[in-house]
This record gives sequence, C-alpha cells and structure tokens, in this order.
Amino acid sequence: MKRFVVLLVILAVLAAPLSVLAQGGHRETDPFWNPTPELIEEWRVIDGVEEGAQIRFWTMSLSPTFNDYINKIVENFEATYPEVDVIWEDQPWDSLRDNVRNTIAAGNPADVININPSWISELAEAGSLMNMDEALAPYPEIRAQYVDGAWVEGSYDGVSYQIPWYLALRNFLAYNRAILDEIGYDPADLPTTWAGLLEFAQYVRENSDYYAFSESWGEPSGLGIVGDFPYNDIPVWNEDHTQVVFDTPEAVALLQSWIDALNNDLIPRESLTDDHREMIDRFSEGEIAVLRMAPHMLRLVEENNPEVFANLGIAPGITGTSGVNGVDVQSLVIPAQTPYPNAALALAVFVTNPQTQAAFSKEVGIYPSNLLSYQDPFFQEIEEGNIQSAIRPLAYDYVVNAENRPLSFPNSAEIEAIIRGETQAALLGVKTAQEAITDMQNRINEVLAAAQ
Amino acid sequence: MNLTAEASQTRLRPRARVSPQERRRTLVAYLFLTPALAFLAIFLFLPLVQAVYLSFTRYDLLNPPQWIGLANFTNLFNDPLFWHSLKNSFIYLIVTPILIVLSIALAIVVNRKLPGVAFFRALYYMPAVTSVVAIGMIFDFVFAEPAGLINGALRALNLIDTPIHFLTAPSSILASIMVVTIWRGVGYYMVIFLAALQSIPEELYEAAAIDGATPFQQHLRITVPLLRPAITFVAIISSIAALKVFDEIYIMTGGSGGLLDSAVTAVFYLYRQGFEYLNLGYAAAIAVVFTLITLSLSIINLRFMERGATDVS
Repeated sequence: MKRFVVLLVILAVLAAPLSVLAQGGHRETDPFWNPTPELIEEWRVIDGVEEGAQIRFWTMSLSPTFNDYINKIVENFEATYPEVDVIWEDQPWDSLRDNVRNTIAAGNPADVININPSWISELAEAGSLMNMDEALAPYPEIRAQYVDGAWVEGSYDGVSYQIPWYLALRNFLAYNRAILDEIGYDPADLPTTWAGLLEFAQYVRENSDYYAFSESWGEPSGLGIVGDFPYNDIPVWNEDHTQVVFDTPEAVALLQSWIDALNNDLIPRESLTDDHREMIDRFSEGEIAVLRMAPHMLRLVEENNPEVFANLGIAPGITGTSGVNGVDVQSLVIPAQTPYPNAALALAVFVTNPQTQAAFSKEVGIYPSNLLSYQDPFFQEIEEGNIQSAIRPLAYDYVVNAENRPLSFPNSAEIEAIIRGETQAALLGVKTAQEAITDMQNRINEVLAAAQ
Repeated sequence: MNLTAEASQTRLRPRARVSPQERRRTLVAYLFLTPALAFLAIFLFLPLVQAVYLSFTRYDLLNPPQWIGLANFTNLFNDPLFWHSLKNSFIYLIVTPILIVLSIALAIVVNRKLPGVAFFRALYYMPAVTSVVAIGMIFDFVFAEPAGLINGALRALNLIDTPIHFLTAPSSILASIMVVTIWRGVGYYMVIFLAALQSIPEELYEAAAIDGATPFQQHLRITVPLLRPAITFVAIISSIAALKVFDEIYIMTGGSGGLLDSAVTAVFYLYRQGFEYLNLGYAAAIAVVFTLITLSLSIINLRFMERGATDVS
C-alpha cells in the first residue's frame, strides 16, 4: 500500500509539469496569469461601478474544461474591481436558451450572459437587453478595439446588443489525410467553392465507400439555407426591410443543389437529421473525408478519435459565390433588468480585454474579438505537431476582413421552423425547390406582417 | 313521514358532542395533511388555474400577458399542425395494448421458479431505470444507417440492399420511437403484472389442471380474468403516458419533432409553441384542450374496463 502511495506521488510530481506543457507552457509567462499591479490598474476602465455589487456570470458549456481560466478571470476581475463580487455559473449549451428566457421572465437573470448571437433578436425585440452601442458610447477607445464584423453579429434593428467574445474562424476545411491518400486525391486540389465541393463529393463516391462531407440540416436552431443567401449574393430583404424577397432563381438553384446532393447519394442521408455535433462525430469516426468547421471544433475530433486527429490536415474553407468569409461569434449580453449595469458592463469588457482574450486563445483554438490581442507574439507562433497553430498567423487578416452578413428576424424561432420545414419538404421530394422557396418566403412574410 | 316533520326532527336532534380528544385527533390529521395539500396546491392546482387563465391571453414570457378572450382556442381549432399532433398522440396509443400483452407475457415467464430468474427480472426492469438520454443514444446506434445495429445486421445477412430509414423517413419516425417507448416501458409494467400474478392462488391452477386444462387454457381462463384489475390500471396509466409522450420524441428527433413534423405529438407541439416560439398563451390553450381530451378518455377507459370486470364476475 505504502509503495502504491509513493508511486502515486511520483506520478503526480511527474504529471504537474506535463500539465503545464499541455497548456503550451504559456501560463508561466502570460500577463493574464501573472498580472502586475500596473496591468490591474490598466484593466480598470469602466466608471461608476456599483459599490458592493454581486453579479452573476453565465458561460456556455465551458466547465469543467476551462475552470482554471474562468476562475482566473473572476480572480483578476475582483482584483481590478474590488468592490464587486462575481459568481460564475456555467450552463449546458442545450438548455441555456430556455434558462435565459425563464430567468428573464422571472425577473432574475444573470448579469452577464454568454449566448449565441442568433438568440439575441427575440430578447432585443422584448427590450430585455442592454444596448451596447449606447453603453460603450462614452468609451469609444474600447469600442474601437473590437472586430467590426463581430460587433454587428448580434445587431437587431441596426443596434448591437452584445459585446463579441471569442471568435471561431468558421471557414476552414479539415480533411482526413488517410482517406485522401486512399482515394489518391491531392489535398492541394481540395475545393473552395460549393460547386467544387459537389464535384469532389462525386469523385469520392465513385472511388470509395466514403462520403466526401456531410451536412447538419437537422440543427434545431439557425436560419439554414436562408442564412447562406447573403453569402451567395442572394438578396433577403426588400428595401424598407419589411418583407423577405429571396424567391429568386439563384435561391432555387442553391436548394436544388442540396436536393441533388442528397438524391445522388453524395452525402449521407442522415445529414437530414444530424446537428453539428453529429456531423463532427461522423468525421471523427472516419466516415467522411472533409469537415467544414471552425478550428476550435477540432478539440472534439481529438477527444472522439485521436487516430483521425493524427491524420488531420487543414485547408481553406468553402465560400459562397460572394467569396466572403464570416466569423462565428460567441456573445456577451447584459439583461436590461440587471441592478448593476456598470459592474456588469465592467465584467463584459474585462472578459473581452486584450490580455484576457489572448490567454483564452492559448488554452484552446479560438480567436479574440479584440484586435489588440493579436499583438501577442503567440499569434505568430507555429508549433510543430500542432495542426491548429498553423492558422494563427492567418487569424488577424481573417478576422479583420471577415464580413458577417447576419440576418435577424422577429419571432426568430418560428421563422427558423418555417425554413427548416420547407427545406425538409424539398429535400424529401414533397415539394419542388421552387415551391419550397416560394412557400418559405410567403410564410415568413406572414409572420413578419403579424409581428408588425 | 312528510318533509316538515323530518326537518323539525333534524332540528330537534341534539348535536353529537365532540370530545377534546377527538378534536385534537382531527386537528393532528389535518396537520399531517397540510404539507401534502400545500404541495399539491402550489405545484398542481395553482399552475392548473394559471394555465387556464393564460389560455385566454397572449403571453410571450418576456412581456405581461394580454387578455385576448377565445382567440387562442379559435386559432387552435384552425391550426392543421395541432390536429396533426393530436392524430399522432392517438396513434401513439397503439403502444398501450402492445405493452400490456408483452408485459403480461414477460411476467408469466419470470413468474416461474427457474434458476436465475431474479437476474432476468432485474434485466427486464433495467430500461425503466435507465435515463431516456442514454436510451436515445442506444437507439440512435440501433437505428443508424447505413451501418447501425439493425441495418448493419440486415445488410450483413444480405436481407436488404439499401438501409431502412428508421429516423430519416417521415413515414417511419413515429413507429421507430414507439418501439423505444415499448422497450422502455415493458419491464416497468411487467413488475405490476408480476405482483398481480403472485396474488393469484395456486390452487386455481391445480384445480384447472386436474380438470384437464392446458397451460394456455389456464392462463386464458384464470390468469387473464384475475389480472383484469391490473390490466385496467396499466391500460389507464400507460395510455395517459402514451398521450403525454415527450421525452422519447425530443431525444430521438434532436428536439425537432422529426422530419416534416412527422413525430410531433400534442405535448411536443405544446412544448414547441410554449418554449420555442414563446407563445405561452397558445401553449396553455393546447394544454387545456388536451387535458380535457385525456380526462374524457381516461373516464371512458375506466368505465369500459369496470363494465368488463362486472361482466366477468
């Protein structure tokens, strides 16, 4: 028994430096992990923070993986604003939306909440969120630090109700080198357009039992094909923004290409019901050759199947006809009901400040919404054997040039369901692509008319 | 005796005196009942009343309710998806007779004194105590295509060329989910029937055997009639459970209700209207209508079963 305990102690001692190495050894020298009094002073940027404020901070599925990081944020924030106490509560991603709605309805929401920007419109419509354009108007130098493309992501009626937190460079293509080798395909020839992807899919099916890619059409939320229209230069709104007008030959052709891909067995039939996690699982299981993804999702591939992860390569992503790349944003919002608006704003700004965000990127392959973060030399480092690190030097240009073309609708959940239903009807052959697009437009306009 | 005389007698009858001891006992009884009553009042009766009130309002959770009279009910009766969801709920009732037959059969099997039977009893009961999320994951694999458990096995045996679309064809999604419900429920109802079986006197079977009844005849003439109270009970609770099904639908369809809403039942539709679209008033109207339907059905079911029991006796 004694020998067993000694062995455990030796293992623990050996494991401690390993765990530091696993973090890339950045923590020892990083200013976020070792803040000086000057830096703490520099971090204090918001005025009028309420004395004795106790604020709750909700994150989305970051615990337990990032407990150290979030706890350090809380520690640093409380050192910067000693008059404020922060209670951090992590929420599971699949119930967060309900929890936010319910707590706002009950008059007791958390003070700073990490949400998906697509949920913002319904909360903004009900007047439940702080207007961030107004909140940061007295601090133009802070507002200027954020990537513009990310700032507009959570806009509703031209107003931003969020501070962008971490970003995912959504448009990369992860490929399974083993599959490409097997079918004799050069990764340099991987497609960058939707039409090219379909041709590649045809090649993969003809030369193997694999699929080239799969889709996540079963995603229970999101705007589906309509969300793709702006990136394919298909107009969505009329001039006065009262009706949707996407019933065009281009929209019909895009939907028809989805139908053809399914009917010609170019993608797995379960794309009809898969969500993005299931799509990643499919790639992790070695069923598909390429995965359209944001690099931070590779963590899931690594967890699912280290063998596939070891065979990963990364290539430029697939763009629509516009050639524009968007960026995925995680937002921080502040409910209008918070009794501590300044303390909450201070926390949201603190979480997104240059050092705090750069430190997060060193923990996981996400990217900061704060342009000053990219001054950290880390974003120029490429680590041997670390596939995600190859993207770092490209990240600044990517986010600066990213052009998000977000769509926001009132009654968004209802509109999402209409889009999902009509798309499914077309994919399953119940309607033609033209009928589905026409019906989709008409039904959305009915909802918009009722909302007006 | 005329009514006036009866009334006057009633008036003249001295009131029975309640002793302080009895009064204290009554008080204690009420005190014991109070927590349960309070619990029911707060978590059942009050929400029930509130739901009825909300059904006459437009309420989106984020703004105060607005009184709109019968508009929700008018819209409901003109909503094709509501009728579709109601139809699916009634189709789901098919699980009830299947569950009863399967669980009686299983109960009869595990009621025998065989070596290792306790293990099998526990094994059949396991799905009842397994989380529905875990069950969803298992059946995702069972129904997966092209190489899930069933499709993979059938293809390996060369019985099919193309996979069966258990969860990716609108026509089969509801049936596939019903299989999950049956798998999940059969062990639970088996235990109820097992308890009922063990209360049937052994002598009845012995007498029947002496009279030359085959085992099948014994079950048909003795077991089934004497199980009737348990069958009534299971029929009612399993049909209510079938009408209220939500978990399996939500998990197996990833919260979408299935392709083309093919697996949307009334309770799922209620959830969607209430918690996805935030039409809480409309959802409350669905709840009110659906509760009335379930209540009526349960009463009819009970009467029908009681009449059947009387006929047998």
